[in-house]
Amino acid sequence: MKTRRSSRTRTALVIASMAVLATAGAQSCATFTEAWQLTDFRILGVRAYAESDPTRNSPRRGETAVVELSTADVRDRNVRVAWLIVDSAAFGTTMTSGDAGAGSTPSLPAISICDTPDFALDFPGLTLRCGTRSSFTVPSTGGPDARGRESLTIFGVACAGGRIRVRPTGGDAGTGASTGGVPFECTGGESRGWPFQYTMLVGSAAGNTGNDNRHPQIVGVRAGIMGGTLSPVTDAAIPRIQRCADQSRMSQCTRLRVEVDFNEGARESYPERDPNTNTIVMRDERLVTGFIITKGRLSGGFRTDSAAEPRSVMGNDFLPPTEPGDVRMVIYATDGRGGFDTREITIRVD
Amino acid sequence: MLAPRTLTGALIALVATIAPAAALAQGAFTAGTTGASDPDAGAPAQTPDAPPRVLRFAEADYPEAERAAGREASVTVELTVTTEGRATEVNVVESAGEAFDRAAVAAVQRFEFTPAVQGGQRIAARIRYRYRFRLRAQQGPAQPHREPAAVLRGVVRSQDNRPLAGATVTAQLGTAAPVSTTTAADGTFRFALEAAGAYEVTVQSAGLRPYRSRERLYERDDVRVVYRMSRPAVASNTTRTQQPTRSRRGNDDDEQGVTVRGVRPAREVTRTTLERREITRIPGTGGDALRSLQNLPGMSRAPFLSGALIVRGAAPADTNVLVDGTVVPLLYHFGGLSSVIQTEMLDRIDFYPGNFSARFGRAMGGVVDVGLRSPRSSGYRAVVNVSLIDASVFIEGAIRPNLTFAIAGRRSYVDVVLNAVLGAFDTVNLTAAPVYYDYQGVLEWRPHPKHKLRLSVFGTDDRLEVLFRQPGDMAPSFAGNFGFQTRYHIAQLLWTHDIAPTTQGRFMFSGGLTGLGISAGDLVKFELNFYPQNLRYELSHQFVPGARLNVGLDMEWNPGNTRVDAVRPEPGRPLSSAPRVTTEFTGSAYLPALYAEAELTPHTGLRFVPGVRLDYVGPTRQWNLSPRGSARWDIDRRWAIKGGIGMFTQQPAAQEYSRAPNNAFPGQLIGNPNLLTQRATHYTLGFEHIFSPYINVSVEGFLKFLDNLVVATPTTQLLSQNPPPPFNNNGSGLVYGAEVLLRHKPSSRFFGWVAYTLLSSVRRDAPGGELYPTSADQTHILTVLGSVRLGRGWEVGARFRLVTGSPTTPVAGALYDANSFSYVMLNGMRASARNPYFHQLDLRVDKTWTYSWGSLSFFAEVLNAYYAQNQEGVQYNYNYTESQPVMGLPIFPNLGFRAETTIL
Repeated sequence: MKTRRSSRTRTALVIASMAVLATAGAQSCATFTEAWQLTDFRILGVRAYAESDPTRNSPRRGETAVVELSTADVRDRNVRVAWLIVDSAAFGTTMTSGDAGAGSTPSLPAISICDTPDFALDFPGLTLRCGTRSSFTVPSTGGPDARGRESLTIFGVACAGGRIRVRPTGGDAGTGASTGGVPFECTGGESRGWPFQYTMLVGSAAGNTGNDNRHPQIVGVRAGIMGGTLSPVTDAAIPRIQRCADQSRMSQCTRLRVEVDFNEGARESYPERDPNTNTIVMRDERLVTGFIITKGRLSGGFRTDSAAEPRSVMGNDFLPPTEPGDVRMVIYATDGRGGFDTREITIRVD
Repeated sequence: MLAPRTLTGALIALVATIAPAAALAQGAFTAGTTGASDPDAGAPAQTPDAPPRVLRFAEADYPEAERAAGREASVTVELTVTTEGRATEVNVVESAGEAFDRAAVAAVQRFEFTPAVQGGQRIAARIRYRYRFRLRAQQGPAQPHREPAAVLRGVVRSQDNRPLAGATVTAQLGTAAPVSTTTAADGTFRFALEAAGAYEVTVQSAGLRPYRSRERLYERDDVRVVYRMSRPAVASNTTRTQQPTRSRRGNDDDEQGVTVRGVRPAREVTRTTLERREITRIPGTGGDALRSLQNLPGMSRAPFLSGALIVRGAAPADTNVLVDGTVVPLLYHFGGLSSVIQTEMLDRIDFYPGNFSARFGRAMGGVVDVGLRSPRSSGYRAVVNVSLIDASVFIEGAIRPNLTFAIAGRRSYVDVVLNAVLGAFDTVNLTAAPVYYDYQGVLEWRPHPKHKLRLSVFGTDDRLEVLFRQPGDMAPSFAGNFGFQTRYHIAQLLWTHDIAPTTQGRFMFSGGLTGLGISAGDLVKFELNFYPQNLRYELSHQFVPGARLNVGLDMEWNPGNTRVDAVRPEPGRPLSSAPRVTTEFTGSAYLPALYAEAELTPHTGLRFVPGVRLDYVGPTRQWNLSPRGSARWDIDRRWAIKGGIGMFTQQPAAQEYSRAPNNAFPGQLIGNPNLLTQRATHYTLGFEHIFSPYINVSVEGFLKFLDNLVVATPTTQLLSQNPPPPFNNNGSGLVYGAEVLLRHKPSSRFFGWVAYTLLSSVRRDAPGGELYPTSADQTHILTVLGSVRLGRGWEVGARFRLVTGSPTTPVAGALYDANSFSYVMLNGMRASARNPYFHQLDLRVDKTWTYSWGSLSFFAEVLNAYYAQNQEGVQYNYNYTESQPVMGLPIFPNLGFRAETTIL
């Protein structure tokens, strides 16, 4: 009897508190677009590599480097990209939260740029390039940044459906930060632009700085009904799943399990100076994998390797939408040192 | 910026010049848990050798309307009997209506007393007096009923504690005729004695050994006794108690006792005392005394669930919280839902929003000094509180008449609830649900009337841990265990002693552990453990009436260690791939201080308190001299002006001056050991006016200049080739405003107040830099509250708050970091936006039942009764393109029970 009374008390407490929490939650529960929803134009990542070896994403000084911007869009829009490349040693550091305008960039004329991909400017210590894919020569001189690594800092803007204009302020991002520290803006009626930053490691000729790095490769994607066997996804073997009327988080509909396979050496070992002991130690890269879809729901936007799970399974669960049709799923990954790869698959909803 | 020495000299000169002339005075509010709380935070109340006695009784004018209506009444007033035997500061404590109150106050002001005496010296004393209005027989002028000179009553019990009926109790004063009575069925008896004095009391009961006792009864005394009769071979014993200060509410038959406490005027020349009824019945505080602080003027509204103390625009870290002189790191459990010390354990709460005494230091903002109570000297009392959030128990009693104890403990059960609720979510695991507990214990020994030794222990522990199984959308590295723990456990030894009738000493030593632990997934693990030790000694001597000097030593030693295990952000790397850096350092901060303070009353009504404090900051090897002064002039019984001026210093935080190497930035230190001490100069000026025995107003303006404020160097600069020190003293600030407190003191039916603060708090991080409002900059802070007794134990109250929204920094956009797949927020202009006005109505209803064994109370509160949608911040989606306000508390009900029993 005592137990039952105690249980009732506890139940009453739980119900009362849940009501309170639910009310509180209702006040702050967001109906935001989730990171895994592709609803507009967005940037996925930068693939930078040495022109002489596309698998190596740490071009050496004096080499020709290639940068490619990977984007996704729900509409078919022309994408213009401007790249502003500076040596990290000269620049100081990259952006951190709230530090818009870190460092300084030289003033640029207030003109429209990148209307053609061959637009290019070269200042001492600064390179301006255009195009979703562009190349430039890694400066032959330079030095390590504050962390002791040689790298290039790249700021840019990707503009879908519009034109890129140099901001007349000359890049004073501390006062107007619509494009952050990037002295460009995307203009045009139906345009959507995003400023971005990227740090590219500069390898050494001797290859002993720990900067040398190769891109991880997504070698395959497997999919199957959750709890069942997963099969490789190819253009000829598109995964299929029944549509689902219940789009809630706790939906009981059948889900599709998607897992990403990487090449054997995707998680490279690299030497790094341990800041605690000031000695060189070997570390393994940790992969970060992102997932975005055009319809339906995912159980999360990202999967990562962690200290607890250094070789995490990069998988996701897909809840099909209410309407039948093809759903695009874009998978993109980085090894944490500038390496990048992406893959897009189609899921057919019946 | 003035040089420190120049400013110090100017301050000394200014204090010396203006204080006597302008009779300025400073203000400080005190929220005491007793009606006549000890006004001196350091010294205990003195029990005089001889209390005041009425020499000349003055009859009140019976209000005509009341007499015509045939109404009788009793009015209890509290008054100060001066060393000349005059009645001053007469306040109504229990009202019988305005007409009766006014007549009673007027009469008591004409009384003449013999002053209280201690150690052969006359002292001022605060007493209570009940004036009864009784209608005489049909004709003749109405005359007040003469009270008995004293009352002696109690219970006669057998050795096995059974009440003895039919026992004969006789009381005899000298050679006067004895008076006798017989105990009732429950063993009780009562004498209404015509004269005060030393009575010989004899108790006789058949078959038991006669019992004799000598009871000294003073004028207006109401003494309760318990006599235990033994068989002839066994000795008897006596327990004597003095009736509590207040009668039990709702029980008009309960006699009002007189509690006499030697009163020394406060060093902080102005104080407002909140009475227990006010403290425990303020809507929205759950009956928590320390939460009542949040309703006083000068106190900004803390952000939702933060529980921070923001005093007169100062940062929370700029206000010190002390328990009987020992600094404690926090006052409230997380969320600010309840305080870390139970109301039952409190003797007083002294809140100084500025210009505090020289005995307090190392704080630029304000001081909250909490005193633990002395346990009751006879019998036992137990209190149990149960609410939706937590439950607590309190027990106090006497092991021997001079050896007493009090213990209290509290634990929350939010963990039970949240475990059940969060269990429904698949992405969140509550590995350690939010839980807190606190405890206090006091063992007090009075080996001699002039000595009191007290050993106290108090502590608290708050912890919470949440496991996020999957990475977050905002930052892919955001996963793992998130939690925090704060705790302290402190033991304190207190010794107060009277060295001579005019000289008192107070010694305090405390030591313990203070800990803070924070973990943010795989990114950061922070652990801080300090073992603070405090030593204080104060000597107080009265040279002549009207001149007292207090000198003291205030030492703090904080050995401790810190361990930070965190990823080091690096360009081009997601945090999950960044290298981990462990920084560990051990150190100690030695912070001794000396102070001296005079209390001068050169003329009746004029009070001047100059003081000076000398602090040494061990880690930065700096001496700081802080002159201070305050004054108050009671122009007449209704008007007073008050003011103060002073300098206040505060050492940088441990991490700011640390000499430990910073592994995250090789070649640099964690802190800057060359930092200067932060400094504030306070100016206050105000007045008080008493409209009626119930209603008064206090108005005070304040101005604070802050300089040498510690500012962190931006991370980007630390990464440059020639990085500056990680911290500098380039910050400065200005705080100014005014406070108004219009208060209706507790009467028999109502209490309430209107508190309004006008405030501006701005800072700049470098000379000539941008001036920006601090997060504490709340221009208008209005609190209106009141509580009405409805009779039959019912009481209802309401509190309304209207506060300007805090400044916020808007988000101007975002930048995509292609290395980490996350968006970097880009701030707009600093503090260039504000949250909308905050407004909230809280309601409360209380019901009390009184039984022979004690009392049972129930309260119900509804916070945010009309469901105001108060914005506390803004939340954004993963790329900062969408936002929506974060709302504060919804309608929130809270219930609680309180049971109290006393065993004599």
